[in-house]
Amino acid sequence: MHIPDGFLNLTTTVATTGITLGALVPAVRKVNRSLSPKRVPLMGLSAAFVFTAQLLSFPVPGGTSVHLVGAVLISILLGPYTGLIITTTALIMQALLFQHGGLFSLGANILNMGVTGCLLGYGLFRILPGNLSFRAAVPALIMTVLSGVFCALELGFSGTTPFKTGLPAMTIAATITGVVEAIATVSILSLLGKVRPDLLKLEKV
Amino acid sequence: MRHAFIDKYAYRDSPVHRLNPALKVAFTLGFILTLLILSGQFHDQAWLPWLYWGCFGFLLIIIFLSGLPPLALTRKVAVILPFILAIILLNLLAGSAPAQAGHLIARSLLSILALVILVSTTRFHEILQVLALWRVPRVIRLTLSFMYRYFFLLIDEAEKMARAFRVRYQGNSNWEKLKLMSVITGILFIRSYERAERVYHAMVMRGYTGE
Repeated sequence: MHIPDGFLNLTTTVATTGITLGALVPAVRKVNRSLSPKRVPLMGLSAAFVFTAQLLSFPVPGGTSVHLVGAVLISILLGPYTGLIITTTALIMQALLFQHGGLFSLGANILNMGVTGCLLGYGLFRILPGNLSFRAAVPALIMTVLSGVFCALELGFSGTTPFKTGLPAMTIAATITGVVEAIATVSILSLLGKVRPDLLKLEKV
Repeated sequence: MRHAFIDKYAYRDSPVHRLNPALKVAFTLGFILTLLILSGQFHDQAWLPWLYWGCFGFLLIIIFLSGLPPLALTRKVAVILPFILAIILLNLLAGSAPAQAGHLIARSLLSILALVILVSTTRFHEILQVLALWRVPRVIRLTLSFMYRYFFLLIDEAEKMARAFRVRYQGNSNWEKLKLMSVITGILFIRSYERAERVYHAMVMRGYTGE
C-alpha cells in the first residue's frame, strides 16, 4: 500500500525518512562507484520496467487482483543497491504521476517496499540454500508481508489506524499480495532462465 | 496511447505555469509540511478548522489562476478516497471513535490537492531541474529522466501483449492467468533490456561517453 501524505504524524515521518536516507545514501555511493556508461540506460529502462510492472493487475486465484512491487525481482537481477535506487525512482514517479503515495510519506513508502525488498530481501536471497526458485520465492513472500506489517505499524504509531484491527487486516492483505508476488517472481526468473539465461548473470551492484 | 496524456495539464500556459518551478516545488513541500506540523500540534485548537478552510480557499485561487479544469483535479484527488474509507472502517471495527478523523481527512485532502496542482502546472523536466538545483544525486535524476521517456513505450508493449493474450485465451482459470501475466512481465523485462542496449548504442553513436 502506498501511504498518502497526511496519514503519518511528524515523528513517524521523521523516523522513516531517516532510516530510508540511511539506506539510500550508501546505496547511491555504491552504485556511483561502479556506474559504467552502459549501466545508465539499463537502470533507466529497468526503472521504467518496474514502474510498468507495478501498474499491471495480477489476478489472485479465487478472486480480486493485486499489484506487484518487484523490489526482490529487480534486486536479484541487478543487485540490491541498484534495486533500491530503481524502486525509489519508481515510487517517486508513482507519487508524481498518479498520486499513489505522497511527498513526505516517500520515506515510509521507500522503507516499506524498497529497503525491505531490496536490501533485506536480497540479503535473504544470498544466504538461503537451495535452488533459485526457492531462494527467490521466500524473500518475495516475506518482504511483501513485512511491508504490510511496517505499513500497519507506521499508521498505528501515527494514531491513524488502531493496531488491533490495522495490523491483522494489513498483514492478511499483504500475505495474499505476497503469495502472488512470490509466484510471479519465480515464474519471471524461470522464464528468463529458459529464454535469456544471460540476463540472470548481469552485474549485480 | 491514452497514457500519453497523463501530465497534459502541465503543458498548458498560465501565470501559475510560468512561475519558477523551484518556487512551486518548495511551496508545495512547505505547504504539506506546515499542515502536518500544525494539525499534529494544535489539533485541539478551535482555529484549526478555519486554517484548513483558509488553505482550501488559497488553493482554489491558485486553481482559478492556473485555469485547470476542476473536474479533472477532483478525479485525481479522489485517488485517496478508498484509503480514507479504509482508515475509517478500521477505526470503527476497533470500536475506537476516530478522534482526529476530521483532521486526518482535511490534511490528507489538502496535501494531495497541493501535489496535484504542482504536477499539473509543472513539467517533469522542470521538476528534474529543481532536483538538480537541490543536489539530488545524479544517478537518481538520470534514472528518473530515462524512466519518464520510456515508460510510455513499455506500457504500450505491456498493453499489446495483454490484449493479444485476452483475445486468444478462452479459459477462466485465475491460476493460468497469473502465470501468463508473469510471462508477459518477464518478456517485458527482456524487451526493456534489449531497448536499453539499443539506446546505449544510439547514445554512443552520438558521442556519449558517460557524462
